[in-house]
Amino acid sequence: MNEPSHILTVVTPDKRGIIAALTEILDRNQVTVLELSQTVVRDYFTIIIVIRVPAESDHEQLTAMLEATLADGASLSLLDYKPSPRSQQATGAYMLTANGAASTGVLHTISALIAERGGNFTDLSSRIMAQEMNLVAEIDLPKNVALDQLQIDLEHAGSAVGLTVRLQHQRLFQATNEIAFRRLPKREKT
Amino acid sequence: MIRTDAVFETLRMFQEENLDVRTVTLGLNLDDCSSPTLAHMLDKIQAKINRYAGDMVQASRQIERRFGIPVVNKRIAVSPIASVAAGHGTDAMVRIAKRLDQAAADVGVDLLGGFGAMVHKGMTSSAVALIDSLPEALSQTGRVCSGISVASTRAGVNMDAVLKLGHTIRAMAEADRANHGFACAKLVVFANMPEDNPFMAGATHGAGEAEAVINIGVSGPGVVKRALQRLIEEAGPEQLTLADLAEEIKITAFRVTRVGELIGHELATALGVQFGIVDLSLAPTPKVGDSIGEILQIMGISAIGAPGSTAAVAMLNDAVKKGGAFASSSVGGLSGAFIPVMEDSTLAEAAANGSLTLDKLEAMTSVCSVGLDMVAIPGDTTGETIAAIMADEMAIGVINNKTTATRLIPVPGKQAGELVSFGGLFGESVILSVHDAGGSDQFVRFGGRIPAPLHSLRN
Repeated sequence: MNEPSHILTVVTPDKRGIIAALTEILDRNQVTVLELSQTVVRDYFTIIIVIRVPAESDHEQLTAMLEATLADGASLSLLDYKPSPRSQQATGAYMLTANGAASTGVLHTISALIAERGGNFTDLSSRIMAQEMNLVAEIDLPKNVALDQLQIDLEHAGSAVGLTVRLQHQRLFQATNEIAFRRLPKREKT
Repeated sequence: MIRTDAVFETLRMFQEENLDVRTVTLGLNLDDCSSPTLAHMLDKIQAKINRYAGDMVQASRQIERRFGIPVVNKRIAVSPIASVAAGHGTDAMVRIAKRLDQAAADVGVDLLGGFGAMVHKGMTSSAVALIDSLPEALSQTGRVCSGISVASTRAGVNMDAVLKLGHTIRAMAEADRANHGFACAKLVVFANMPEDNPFMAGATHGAGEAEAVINIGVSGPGVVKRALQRLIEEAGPEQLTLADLAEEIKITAFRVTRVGELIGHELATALGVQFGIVDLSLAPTPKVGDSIGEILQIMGISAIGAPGSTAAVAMLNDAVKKGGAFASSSVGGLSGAFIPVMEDSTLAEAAANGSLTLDKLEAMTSVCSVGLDMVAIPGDTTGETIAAIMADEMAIGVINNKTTATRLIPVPGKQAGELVSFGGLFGESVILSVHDAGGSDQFVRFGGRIPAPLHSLRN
């Protein structure tokens, strides 16, 4: 059985050995790790793990054991896994990029424009360093979206605060960066 | 997701380094437009161009939007008109040029190539008629360009055609005296002419091509220049060898070629025609930061034309080809580095200060991807001397089994050292001196054909 049962998230100041400590407890409790994504954002270790916990497990005890391995100031949560309905008519990804002067509120302005047109962020990273903002996001857009209108809206929203915002099909970036780029995209396995 | 730094590297090529898709060129066969009645043929030509190219500008714009890449020029290359219009005379050729000009304007393309002939072994009467029409045809139209094949490794050099074109180029310059002989900038004379070149003025739709194809020309001297600059700044010149520079050029060429291939396939699909080739040619424009000369300077040739310049061009041209060949299986056209003097402000400057002479330029063309391109020469250069310059360039191509070409402009009323300016993408430069002009008149007057070289006998 590889059906997820829970989502475990941990945010904690980064140090060596966090994954080793967490997985040691998961193994001891016969928890299966199905998928995870981990990164370090500005010195903070963050991880999201999709897991399957045996039905007979005591969830509170598991949470307590995991928390005990973490330093002060950490945050840990264990949520019940609830699959969300997949968005229909996704067109495959566009890359949204923004770079320029750091500004507050721009993330909201951009994401609100994308949400309003039915788009969905599937990957996002943004960083402000030395007053310069760099944002890269992967976005699914509905097939019938008026791309030119959305691009113009994004460009205007960005230029109002000194940012260059672009929305371009991601195949451009695959073509220029991946050796194995092929003219026809690979078929999704069904 | 693709790494953030890789995403921004790609963006930087377009935002800061002048990368663009320089041209989307629709190759279109016009053989089925032939007719003994001129009016009938003209109507068929115009209808066919409308049918295939009517949507090209709009479709290009949509793709520009989708990928956020500028497509600077939309162009058409047709079958050599001397064949399409066989049986018609010089006056008819002029009328065809004017109708092609109109058809190009109607579909919104800025240049249309193929008003040319294949005469590398001999001239048909229609080829003669077409060449005779060039002074009037190219001085009275704005968009029509001509490519004439006068030599090939398999056939040798047709010196009768070369001499005829020498005189024709003089006549073209005179016919367009008001524009300093600009008509000559729309004529390219070739050895080993490619049949799928998307770049103007020499684009022609070859006889072995499909009914209609999309060929893509990508440029990007600025991208190569900046890549080399960054490499040298980051590593320090003492840590690098020429092999490191070649590798960097190759990687950059790979990325740029991929952009061209992507756009080419998308546009061909949108128009329902075949995708032909992608041609990565570092094609400079007079804009600062978009220059081959600047790349050579970064490579350590501070005075372009100095000893070492030919080796630097050779390495650049080869590395561009290698990067392109790995990026796409559909690389064609000229694919390399152009050194058009007038169109490259750094080369023009080197010509002005005397470091780049016609002789050194000729040596550099033996390893670049085209030839003596956009070179202004004195207006009183005789047809024989123009033919002799062309013969030298053709011989380089024939013997080295590569494409070479000339685009020479004898500027009426001007002498070596004077400035001529065509404005816009065509740029400006001083007029280069042709030393010992007239010293080879008897050679070119012999005419006939310089036989094909030994290595043409390959069968």
